[in-house]
Amino acid sequence: MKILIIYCCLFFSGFTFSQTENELNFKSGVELYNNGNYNEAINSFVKIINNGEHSGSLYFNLGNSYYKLNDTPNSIYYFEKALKLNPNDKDIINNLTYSQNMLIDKIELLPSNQLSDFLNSISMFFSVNQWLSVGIVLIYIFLILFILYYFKRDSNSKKKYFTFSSILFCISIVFILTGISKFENQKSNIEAIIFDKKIDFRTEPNYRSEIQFNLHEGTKVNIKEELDDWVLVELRNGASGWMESKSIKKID
Amino acid sequence: MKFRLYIFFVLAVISNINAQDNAVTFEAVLTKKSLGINENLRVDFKMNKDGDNFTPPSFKGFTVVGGPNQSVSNMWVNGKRTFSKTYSYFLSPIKKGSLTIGQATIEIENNIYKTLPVKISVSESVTVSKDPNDPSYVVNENLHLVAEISNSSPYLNEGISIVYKLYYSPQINVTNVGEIETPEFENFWSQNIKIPRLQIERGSFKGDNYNFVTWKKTVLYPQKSGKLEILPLSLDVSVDVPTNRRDFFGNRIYNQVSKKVTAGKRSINVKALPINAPESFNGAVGKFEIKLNTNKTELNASESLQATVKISGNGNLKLFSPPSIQVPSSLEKYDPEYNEKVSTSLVGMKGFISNTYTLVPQFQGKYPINSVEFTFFNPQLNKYESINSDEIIINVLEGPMSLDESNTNIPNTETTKNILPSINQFKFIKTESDFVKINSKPFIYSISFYSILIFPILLILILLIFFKSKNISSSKLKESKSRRANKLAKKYLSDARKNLDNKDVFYIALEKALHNFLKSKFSIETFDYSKEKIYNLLLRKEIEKESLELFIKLIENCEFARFTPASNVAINNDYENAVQVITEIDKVI
Repeated sequence: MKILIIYCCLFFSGFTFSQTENELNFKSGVELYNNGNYNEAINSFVKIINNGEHSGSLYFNLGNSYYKLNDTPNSIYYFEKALKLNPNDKDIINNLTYSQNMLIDKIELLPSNQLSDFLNSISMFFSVNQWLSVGIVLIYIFLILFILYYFKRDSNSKKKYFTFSSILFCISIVFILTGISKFENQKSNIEAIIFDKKIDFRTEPNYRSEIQFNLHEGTKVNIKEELDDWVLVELRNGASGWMESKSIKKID
Repeated sequence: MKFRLYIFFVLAVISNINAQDNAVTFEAVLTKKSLGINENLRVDFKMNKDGDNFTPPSFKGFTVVGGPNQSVSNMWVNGKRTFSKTYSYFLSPIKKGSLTIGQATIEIENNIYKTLPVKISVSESVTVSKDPNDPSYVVNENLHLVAEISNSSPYLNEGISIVYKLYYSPQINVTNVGEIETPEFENFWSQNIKIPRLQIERGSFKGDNYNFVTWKKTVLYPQKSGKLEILPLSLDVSVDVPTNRRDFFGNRIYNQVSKKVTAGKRSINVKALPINAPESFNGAVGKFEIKLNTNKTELNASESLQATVKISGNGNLKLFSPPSIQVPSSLEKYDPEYNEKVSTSLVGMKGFISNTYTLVPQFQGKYPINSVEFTFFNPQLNKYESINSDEIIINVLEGPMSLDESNTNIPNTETTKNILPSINQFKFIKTESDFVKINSKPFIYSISFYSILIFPILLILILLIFFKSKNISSSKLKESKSRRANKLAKKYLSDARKNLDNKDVFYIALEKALHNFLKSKFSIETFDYSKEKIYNLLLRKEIEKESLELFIKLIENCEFARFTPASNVAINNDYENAVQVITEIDKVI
């Protein structure tokens, strides 16, 4: 028993130690950024990632630092990563727009149908875990209401509890399903940022094939398939082609 | 009178004779019918009567070196008059082969006469006699046209120069020079360098002292690889050649000779460029520098700025265009304005070409203009060279942030400008953060996820199962309770049942049983059995209306039966009702 307690203490002390170290790194990064030492700020932010921890704010700060250094692909990469963790952060969206203004390629969006747009915008509202946890909380509220329903003898209040609990059940199921579908969507939809100055898109995954078009650094693409050192990517305007995987960096 | 008449006669005879002699001749006479290409030829068009409107033939295939010279001779021999008028031309053949001198026409006494066409065969150049006194020989020896080519094996698009120099020895004097044939530089881009004044310079040619005149300077840029030929330049030179004769004052008499000189055909071997050309190579050959600059780097959205790409140096500047710039798509780019300032000298083109783009930023933010790569072939080093310009960052200070906001914000900007300088700024970094482990396994599909989801369902299932069994036991309890009530009712009604066939006794027993039931259930004293009281009492106990009414009805029936005779059917019915009512009421209480 004593040993167990000691282990617990050790574990938690180690945990809190690394926590504070990362916080210090973050603080110093913010300070360095504020003083205009963007390269060093990036270094201390990256240290936190190397320590195995991350957050939307951290990626946002990295994106900002790279933007200040005029490194378009890196700033877009980190802003997109930040958005993955905090999908509704206004600041991230705002600064990402600044970075995207530096892009050379302009990709027109395909006109999508309104229903899927609507569904997308709804699923954008929370992250996967948020959807799931809200759904689970609702399920537990449902559980309480159901128990209340079950033990009430009074037929009037029984009725009330029953309707409430069934509505809650439906809502919680919708939340959990949305979370699952969003997760699946994210899994099948791997996004990447082009890091090469200029990159050729070919019809086949080899150098002999024809060049269809070319893109420039910072543009976001969706990875559809992978074959050896090549990836089949799709653009938001529906065009697709093969390119070398070394020229892109996946947002994961 | 007679004498006069005689004179008249004589005159008439003479004129008659003249008239008989009157055949008109008009012919072309040549000095020779076959000649070498380097020789000249004289054509005389002779007529024996004076005529008007002489038109010479076109002399196709020849150049007219001299003429037309006109000579008229009028002779009287033995009283015979011979008239002849001659137009002479000096011709020099241009090409070898069979040439024809066409018909000349003349109008004599209102008739039109024509010569016959004459065929001439032009052969290879004839070696000129080496007689030192022959002026044409002297000219041949002392007059040379030379084409000097700076580089006979250049690279494609590498500039070379060709200079034509006319050398003549001091012995002879050149009086006039005319270009007969100007070479066309096929497969070359050529530019003549103007020579403002011909200048006589001294130089040596084949070891002898010569005077020379630079006649023509041309810069050439070969446009095709392989063996290219430069057609010769031909000049017609009039030369004064000294003769052995001297004039009255002892000065030499000069003989004027016209001479055609040609710089021979030259061929140039143009080397193709190496095949490993970088992608950004666009045909520039020489030595260049690139410069990218903008007239401002900070401005507001929807203002304009100019970005200039300038290529300067030596090389085929006019034969390629400057590389285009790459700007972000949200920076509006207009077609460039081309500018060049190129001077051509014998070493080639020198100067700069530039493209000036007008750029209009749409939104605020930073816009990089990527560095422009430019590749040229350096013929001195025999290799491609790539140079890059600097990258320029344009800072757009004020303006909308993106398209959708630019539409909505425009009317507001005027009024709110002073209060809210700009809502959409590049946001500062976050100063606080909660960290989570990277690669922490996703919560979804994890064991805890499933267990959390399954737990409530299990709980409900357990609840259902557990309380189902409890329910069953409680219903059993109810059943036994009602059975007991039934028993009770039967006990109360046992007296009444015994007397089912005796009307009076039955009703007395029934009434008594009902009263006893109430008495035991509600502890009511027997003396107070008014119907209203019982009704109110039962109503207070929340007994169903139906069984309540039935109970009252039964009591009424009992009272009624004491005074009126009733059938057995009613008795049986009342007994059944009584059992039912007692059971019902007992259940509720």
